[in-house]
Amino acid sequence: MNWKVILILLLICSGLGIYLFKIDWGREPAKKTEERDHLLNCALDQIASARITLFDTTYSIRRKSYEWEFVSPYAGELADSIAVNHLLSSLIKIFALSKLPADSLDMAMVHLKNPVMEIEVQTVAGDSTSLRFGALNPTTDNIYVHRDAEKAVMLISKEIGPMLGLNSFMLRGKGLTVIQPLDIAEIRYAGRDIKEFQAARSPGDGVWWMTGGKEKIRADKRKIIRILRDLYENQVRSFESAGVEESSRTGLDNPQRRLLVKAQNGDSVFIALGNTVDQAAYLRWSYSSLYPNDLVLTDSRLLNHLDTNFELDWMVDLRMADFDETRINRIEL
Amino acid sequence: MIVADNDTLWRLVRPKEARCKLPQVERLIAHADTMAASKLLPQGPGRGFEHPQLSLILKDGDKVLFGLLFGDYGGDKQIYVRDLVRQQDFLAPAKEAEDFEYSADDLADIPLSHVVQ
Repeated sequence: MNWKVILILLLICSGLGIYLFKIDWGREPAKKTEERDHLLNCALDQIASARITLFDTTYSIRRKSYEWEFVSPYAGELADSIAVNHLLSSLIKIFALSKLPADSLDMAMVHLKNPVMEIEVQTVAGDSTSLRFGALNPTTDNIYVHRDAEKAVMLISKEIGPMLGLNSFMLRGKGLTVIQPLDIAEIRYAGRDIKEFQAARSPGDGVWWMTGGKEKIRADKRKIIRILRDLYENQVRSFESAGVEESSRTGLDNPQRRLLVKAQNGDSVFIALGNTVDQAAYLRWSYSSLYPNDLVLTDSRLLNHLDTNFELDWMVDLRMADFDETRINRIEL
Repeated sequence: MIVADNDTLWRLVRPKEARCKLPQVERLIAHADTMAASKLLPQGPGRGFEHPQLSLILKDGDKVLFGLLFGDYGGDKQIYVRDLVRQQDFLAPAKEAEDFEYSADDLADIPLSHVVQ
């Protein structure tokens, strides 16, 4: 090839390079992804109440500090805060992948006329958002969601799918008491073949005292709070409708153990532990006045756990000191 | 007797006057704070509290916040302890008492002039 041709080709190539570089230099940076439209546009702690409709049942819950309580049904019961918070925080995170005009869809066909789940959320500021969850689009693997009366229907990731299978057990709290452990002021634990355990918290200094014979013995507050927290947290394995089982079979007509906890404000919860379940000895028939219409199944080991803890010798406060060290200004040794 | 002049300055008053070693005082209070008995005993005589081996009293002014008397040994490396605030007797590991056995020299700080000399 002639050297002149090579030179011309080189010039053309470098000219093209400079041209392309200049074009790219002058171009504005690509726009970032469009702003995401989340199902709920608020923070979790701004949500004051929610109504969750699953099939034909509507559960109404409201915030109680860091927990959730039922308004209806199960008024007065705590909701399972882990389940509720997980559901709501998922709704805050999930965003629309695409949108379709609502009038272009057969709403009955995509289950938005009779939604699988409907959630209405109200914030502390009074704003409310309603979400209706429809069917799974088999082609795109996305779920149809209709928010409020918007003209567009959202398609979201199927991540929310497993939550559409929520049921009342998942939503209900699983504690045997509803009284915060630190609010409890009196405990009475009794049963067959065991010595009754009684302890009360003195209102002034918060010291727990046990009654052992004639004398009062100081109880280890940390141990008491730990066992009360166990009762407050996940203990219920299942809810069974009361009246289905014969009381003689459940043993709740003459329970093996009875526990009464009283709050400082006078509220109280009564718990009874009955027999273990036939064919499932790891479960025990139980009752808590918190669930007056239900029998509950608890772990059968709960009885031993309570026996071991509500025992005078174990509960004795063996800590020698209980003082505020910042107040010490004299030491005599 | 040790008296606090402020948060970080403790003064040994008896048996001799001296500035205290702060870490020793803090260790003493921390040990009192974390001390645990091994058994609660019903009230009863003959445990040597009339002539205790050691007594420890922590005060806020004249108010007693915490007071212990260490009496006789109760066998099996245990010692009788009386809680003066709660008026309860305990058995505690004898080691708990040993950790309070400070002499005035253990607590007194060495004066700087002494170190220089």
